[in-house]
Amino acid sequence: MVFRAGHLIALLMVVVLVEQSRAAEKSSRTDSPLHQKIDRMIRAANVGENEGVCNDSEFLRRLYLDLTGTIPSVSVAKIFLDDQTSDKRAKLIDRLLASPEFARHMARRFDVTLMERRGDKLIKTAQWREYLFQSFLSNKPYDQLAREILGADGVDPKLRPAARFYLDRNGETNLLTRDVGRKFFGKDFQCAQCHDHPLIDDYLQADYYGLYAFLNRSHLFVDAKKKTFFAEKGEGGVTFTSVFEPEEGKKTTRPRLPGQKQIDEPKFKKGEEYKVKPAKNVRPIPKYSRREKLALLATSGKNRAFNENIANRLWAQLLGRGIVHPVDLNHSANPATHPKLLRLLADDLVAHKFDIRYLLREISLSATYQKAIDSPADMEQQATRATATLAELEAKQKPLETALEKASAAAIKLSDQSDAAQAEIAGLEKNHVTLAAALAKSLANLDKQTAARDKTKKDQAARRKLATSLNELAKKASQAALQLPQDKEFVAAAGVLVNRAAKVNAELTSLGNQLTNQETLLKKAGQDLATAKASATGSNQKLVALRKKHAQPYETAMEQVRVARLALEVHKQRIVGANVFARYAKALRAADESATVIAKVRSQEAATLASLAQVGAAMQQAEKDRSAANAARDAAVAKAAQSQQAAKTKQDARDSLHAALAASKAALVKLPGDAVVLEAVAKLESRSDQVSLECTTMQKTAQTDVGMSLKVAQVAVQMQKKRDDMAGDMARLQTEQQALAKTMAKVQAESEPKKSAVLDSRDVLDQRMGRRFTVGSLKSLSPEQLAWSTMQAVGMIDVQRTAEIAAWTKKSKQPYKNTLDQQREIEKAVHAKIRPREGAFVATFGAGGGQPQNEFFATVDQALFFANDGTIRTMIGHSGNNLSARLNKMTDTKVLAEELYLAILTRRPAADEVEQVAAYLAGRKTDRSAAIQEIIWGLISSTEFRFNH
Amino acid sequence: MKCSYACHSPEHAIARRHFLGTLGAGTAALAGGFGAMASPAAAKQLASKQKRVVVLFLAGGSSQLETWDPKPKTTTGGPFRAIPTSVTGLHISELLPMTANQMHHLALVRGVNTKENDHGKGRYLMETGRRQTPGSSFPQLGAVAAKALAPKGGALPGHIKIQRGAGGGRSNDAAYLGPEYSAVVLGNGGAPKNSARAGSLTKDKDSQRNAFRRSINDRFAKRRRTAETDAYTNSYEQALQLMEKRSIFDISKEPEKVQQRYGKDQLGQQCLLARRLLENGITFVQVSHSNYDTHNENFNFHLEQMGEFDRSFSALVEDLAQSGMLDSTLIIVMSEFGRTPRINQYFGRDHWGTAWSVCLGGAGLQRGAVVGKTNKTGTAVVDRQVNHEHLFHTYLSAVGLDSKGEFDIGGRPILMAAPTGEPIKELLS
Repeated sequence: MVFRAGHLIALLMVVVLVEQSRAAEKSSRTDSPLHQKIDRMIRAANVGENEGVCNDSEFLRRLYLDLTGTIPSVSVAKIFLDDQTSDKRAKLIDRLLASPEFARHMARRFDVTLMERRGDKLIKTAQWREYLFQSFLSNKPYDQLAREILGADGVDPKLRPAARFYLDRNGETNLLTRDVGRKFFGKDFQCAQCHDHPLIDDYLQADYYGLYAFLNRSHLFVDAKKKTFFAEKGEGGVTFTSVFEPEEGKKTTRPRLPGQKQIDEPKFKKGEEYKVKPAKNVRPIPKYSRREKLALLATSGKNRAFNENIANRLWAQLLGRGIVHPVDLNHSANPATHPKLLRLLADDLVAHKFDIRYLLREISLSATYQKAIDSPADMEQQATRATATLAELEAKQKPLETALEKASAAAIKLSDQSDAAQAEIAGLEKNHVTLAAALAKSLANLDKQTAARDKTKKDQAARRKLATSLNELAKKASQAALQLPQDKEFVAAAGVLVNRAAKVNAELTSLGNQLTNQETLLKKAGQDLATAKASATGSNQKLVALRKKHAQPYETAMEQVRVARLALEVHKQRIVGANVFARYAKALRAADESATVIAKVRSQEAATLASLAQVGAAMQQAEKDRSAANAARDAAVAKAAQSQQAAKTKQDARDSLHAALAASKAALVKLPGDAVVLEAVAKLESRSDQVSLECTTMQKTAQTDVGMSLKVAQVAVQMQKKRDDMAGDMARLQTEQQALAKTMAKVQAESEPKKSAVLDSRDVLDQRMGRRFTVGSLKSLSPEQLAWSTMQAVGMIDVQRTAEIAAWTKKSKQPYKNTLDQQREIEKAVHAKIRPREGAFVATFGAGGGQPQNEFFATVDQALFFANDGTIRTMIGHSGNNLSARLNKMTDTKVLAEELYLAILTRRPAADEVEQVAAYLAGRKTDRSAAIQEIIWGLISSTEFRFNH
Repeated sequence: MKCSYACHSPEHAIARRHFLGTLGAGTAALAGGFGAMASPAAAKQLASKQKRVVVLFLAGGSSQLETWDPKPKTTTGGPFRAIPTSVTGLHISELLPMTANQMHHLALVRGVNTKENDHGKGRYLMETGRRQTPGSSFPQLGAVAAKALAPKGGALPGHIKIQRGAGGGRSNDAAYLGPEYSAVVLGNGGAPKNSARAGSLTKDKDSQRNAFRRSINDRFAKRRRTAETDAYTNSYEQALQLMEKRSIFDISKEPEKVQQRYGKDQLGQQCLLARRLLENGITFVQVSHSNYDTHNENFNFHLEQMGEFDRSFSALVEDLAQSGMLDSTLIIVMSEFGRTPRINQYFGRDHWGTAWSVCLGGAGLQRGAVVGKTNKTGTAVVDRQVNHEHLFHTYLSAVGLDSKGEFDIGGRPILMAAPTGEPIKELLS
């Protein structure tokens, strides 16, 4: 294929451009501030979405409590709520982080975390808190603080309070091991004291004893003045046995930090371990301190457990729960909800030199921190969406399991190899010790030889000097003797001199020989040393290489196992999350279906009822018609009977007339022409004709009436039938309706569990969203927060502040300008006065000394304390310009309610709340001030006061 | 073995409504209990359902030789005789004549060896069933009983300690079970702290302010409700109920004759209060009597102390037996240890955890049983030796619990009793 140069260049340009833009995107992402990264990570791994941000009131309350341990005062609340600038939240964060109240709150938190409310023993709590307070006031980096505490011996007066962690636990090694593990590494190894943790794969007995080894040489030391220090011996090893597997025998370990290797340590000859040797009333000081090593290694920024522990704890301070929760149970079976986030926070904290304020600032700036406590409105749609992803998620689990199996297999293989190598390493180590001894011996030999040679050299120099002068003298004496042969004495003396010179010369020669000899020996010793050095170095290199060869791949493999396990756990969590949604969606669906069924039955029931009503109405009409017909029939029948009766009467009259006529006519035959009879006959005839006529008419009428009555009777029969038919319909419908009612009861009963399944699954979902930081959490106030917030709410602290400012102004003869220095002075004075009042709250709402302090609990004695204890009563009662007194002066209920709600709940009341307050007071005109105190009590004992921040 | 973390699986999450459901049921059951006290039949019904425990702690270490395991006419026996009891063949010290008449309701463990002669450590192991180990702390029997047996959400505490001196409040004895199971301490045998309404506040006004509080809570609950907010609001309702029932803590409500029978001394009054509390459905009550640390004048002290103890204790046992409550109420008389068979130069006896006795009774225990035996002079256990762990397992078994069971503490399963112990099977009926 032929490329033209132009094409190629164009193509390259495109590639470069794409790369550049990718890099830019990536760098913008890595360069973005931590709080944005936090939000991205939370969003990426969340359960459900929730963009709801808390309102200004809630933010203000939350931030004040989280950073200063108390709610804000009314005036602070008003200013903040009325502030219209857009960056007021960020500004508030900075202001609070710089305040002395922040340092005070941190000191309280760290005291409770580290000492768990143990009573005063060797170091006073007040001194220890003051030490912590000063540390946070100066924003001492956390690594330094931890170093001071972990390395403490109580000697330096300035740092003596830091020794409280050790001293007030009586220096008891097991207790210290557990608490150093919990508090500084987020790992509670207690169950691993006697054996590998039975339930947690990565809490090993070796972890426990690795930490233990840093501490078991340390012990309490009381000096002659009865002052106690934390001293350390220069010797002492650690052996341990598993109670589960005693057959494995005793194991030993050197100090080892969680997740790291045993450390290499300098070795000293027996008796040479100390700078100051132990003796009666003498505090020993070893040349090498394991505890100091612990302090240095832990805080080096390289121990992940240490770094993540503090990041997690600071996160939990603000978010109400740790990314690993509980914060001292960091292990594979209780993984972080957001491991990458935790790592990021830890790394960033280290990169910022363990600056606690930095991390708290970034977390507070995040949208995650500022979420509202309300759960999102579109949970149902979210549930449907999550359900859709379930199958896909489940399908992805298998490969992750396979990856973990593979990684584990690799690690096991390496571990086996490593076991084999262990023997070799042990051999080499032994050999190395021999070589080291040989080396030391040659070194000693060399030193000895050198010393001998140096002595000879010195001797030689001295002799040579003597020989030179002697020779000269002998020579001169011999010359003089030649000139004075007769002076025997002189000659003899000269002879002595010559002899002496000869002897010294001989000695000199001998020394010369000796020196040559010694030089040779020395050279040999030097060579020996070089050889010994070389073999020792060689052996050491071999050892290091071997260790590296086996240890490093194993550690890498173990890291891969850890990563794979974590990935699997995280994925499983995601499935669990989707399942929680799915369950909710399913419950909703089931409830919907059941609602549909209910609706259907209900509509059938309605239709039946409508029919029933219709038929009922029709039947009423029919009934009416039937009655009317019957009445008509009865009337007609009566009328017919009447007509018939009338006709009959007429007929009888006619018949009588006919008879009379016939009789008259018979008389006429006997009395022909009788005028009277004739007239009678004529009259009767005329009458009879008339009556006959009438009779015929009446008979006709009667006939008609009878016909009519028959007709009407027929109608009545029809009407009766119609009514009877309708009654049948009615009965059928009624049966139908009864059946439907039964069905309704049944489906309604069936729907009940479905409805509660919706509530339950929603509960679980809400909890889970809380755990995943998708909604703002409700955090119960700590005993101290409760104490300070209550005192702030009722106005005690403001009253105290005002008094202190007045006192300060009077004393310093300066105006109070709220400078940082002045703030510190006032805070100190207020704290000194208010702090003793914490006690009653702590005793009631805190767990016992030495027990974990982070669990919420609600007991009757707490409620009784709020209800009836004099402490609370006095606080709420009128005094100076406290809340109760202020409210008492307010006549406008609206103003009063606003002051009340701002003081206690840091928000303005809703209209109906104002009305409620007004209603409460309206009925209490005679004892208004008591009523005001009751309202204050109602608000400070409410759930909103206790939980919402 | 893998741990399934309750806190992470929806199956195990406490659904708030279920939680409340239980609360409702619990409150109802308990309320039934209070009202029911008027009728003995109902009292019996309550008695059969709910198990209870009462502990008499003889502080300082009472002498087994002057109580449950006398060795008369031996070098170690001291001056007192042994007397027969209502159980044929069973003899106890003559210092307990009234208790002797109740022995057929009780049982003795005479082979206790706790190997501990230190007051603090001895007390710890007897109250928790475990040896004190640095770096860990264990809940006392009362906390365990309150957690395992007491109805949830009731107004009355499940765990009460009656204290001789003033004060009160919550003690620190529940370890990992959490402070809600810690003892409520009744100072001077009075009602719980703050259970009386402050003088100036009338009942009506209190109801009014509580109604106001509830309305504020209802409003907030529409936004967010959790198991914690529910527990908090419920605690106020419990407090109001407790204030209503305050009189159960008042023994002056008992007839004078009954008060006299228990003894007008502190122990007598406290035993009577204990009975009232048990009758009203409180799960665990501990009374203590002191001081038995008789390094000097052991015999004079026991003569005096046992006189008080005998009257009050026997009255309590008799009443529980008579009302039928004994069938569901476990009685324990314990100390931190016993006292040495050797009598020292001050006529005292010293600390002795090697061979001593514990008296038990009621609930699921054999009546009149004796387990374990010491030698003739009481210097060693010769039969069926047991320690604090066995005893603790036995207590739990006697009230119907599986003593090898576990508590789920924030997802961590923790054994109720020491893993190396076993209940004393021959004591269980």
